[in-house]
Amino acid sequence: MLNKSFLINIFLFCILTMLAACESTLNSSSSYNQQLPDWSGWWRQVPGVANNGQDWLENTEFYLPNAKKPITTPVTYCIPTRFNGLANGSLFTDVEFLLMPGRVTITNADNLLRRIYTDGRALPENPDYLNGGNSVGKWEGDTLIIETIGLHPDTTFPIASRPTGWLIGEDVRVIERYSLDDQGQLISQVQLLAPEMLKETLSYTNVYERLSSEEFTYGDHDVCSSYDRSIDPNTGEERFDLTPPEGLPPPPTN
Amino acid sequence: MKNIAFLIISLLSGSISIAHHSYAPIDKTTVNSIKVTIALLQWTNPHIYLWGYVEDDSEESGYKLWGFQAGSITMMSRAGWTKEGTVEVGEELTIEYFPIKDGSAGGEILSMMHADGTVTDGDQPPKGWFRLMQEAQNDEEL
Repeated sequence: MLNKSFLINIFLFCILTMLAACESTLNSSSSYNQQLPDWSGWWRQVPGVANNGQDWLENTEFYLPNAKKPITTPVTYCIPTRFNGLANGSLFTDVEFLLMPGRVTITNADNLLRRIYTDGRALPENPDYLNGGNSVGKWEGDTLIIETIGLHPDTTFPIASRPTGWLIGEDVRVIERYSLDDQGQLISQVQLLAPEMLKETLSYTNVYERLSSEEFTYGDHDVCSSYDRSIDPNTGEERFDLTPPEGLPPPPTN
Repeated sequence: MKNIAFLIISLLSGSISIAHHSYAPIDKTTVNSIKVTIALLQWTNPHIYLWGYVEDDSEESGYKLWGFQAGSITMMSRAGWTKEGTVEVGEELTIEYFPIKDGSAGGEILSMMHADGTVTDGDQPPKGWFRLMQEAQNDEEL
């Protein structure tokens, strides 16, 4: 009799211990129990905060002497939409944050796709290159912290998916902290480590404002049009193409 | 470190220059003005093009075809442009533009003045170049 009671107690103890361990694991390493903030809708970066790409492009002081630029070939004028750490897309493209337990997805109007796992997994040790990078995140209250590696080394900077700029290189790491401020703006504090391109770690802040449904217009799209006449398809160089289109009306008659 | 600090300050300073590319063929230091009769608005990505006839005695017809560039559909939509409402074929406009360096018949649109005096702005980069020109001019006057 004593033996039977003892065994039942041991069994119950084991069950309770296992349940507690499972709950502890979930709470400590994932967002499954996280009360997710409301980041619904489309977001647009506030002009003047992080849209100064042209200065970044032309000011060589920030880049290592041996940093590379894209080889201008006929194909470089059409590069897939990629994440380069500077922003979620091409600086001026509207962005959507899809929050769910265990994962955050960031998209933009250029069809950038970033999958950020918040289920407690670690970053891959030898990541494949992905257009959106390899990302994991964690929630600290309502602040989302994302770490990203595995960007394509031929991703262009400062503006991704453009035929000009600098090649971001290998071993890039991006740390982002997203949180809403008191005005309802989504603030993104970013650190970019690009040891083959930048002289130093770059720290900057992006500010996003939520758009009304009327303000968001889906354009298909800016970056990788099937034919960009401002790039010579034979040389990859920029040009101003003045070839007249078909169907023009005749000149005015005086 | 100083460079990075400068970079962040420049980011926060409100400069509005959104680059599709470097606009290498464009002379970003000169603004010209020209009267154009609209022939076609090409509503295309990554640039909208505006074609128009400019009076030119050297041409047999008395007119030369010019081509002007604006931003992408998304950017120009945000600026208030529409596919069918911004200009009309046959309309006479005065276009302020940054010319092509080699002197070809075209340029990047800074603004367009309609016959009724209303003005339609161009894309953000030329507005940024214009602001830089004004700042340089102000510095010279000081």
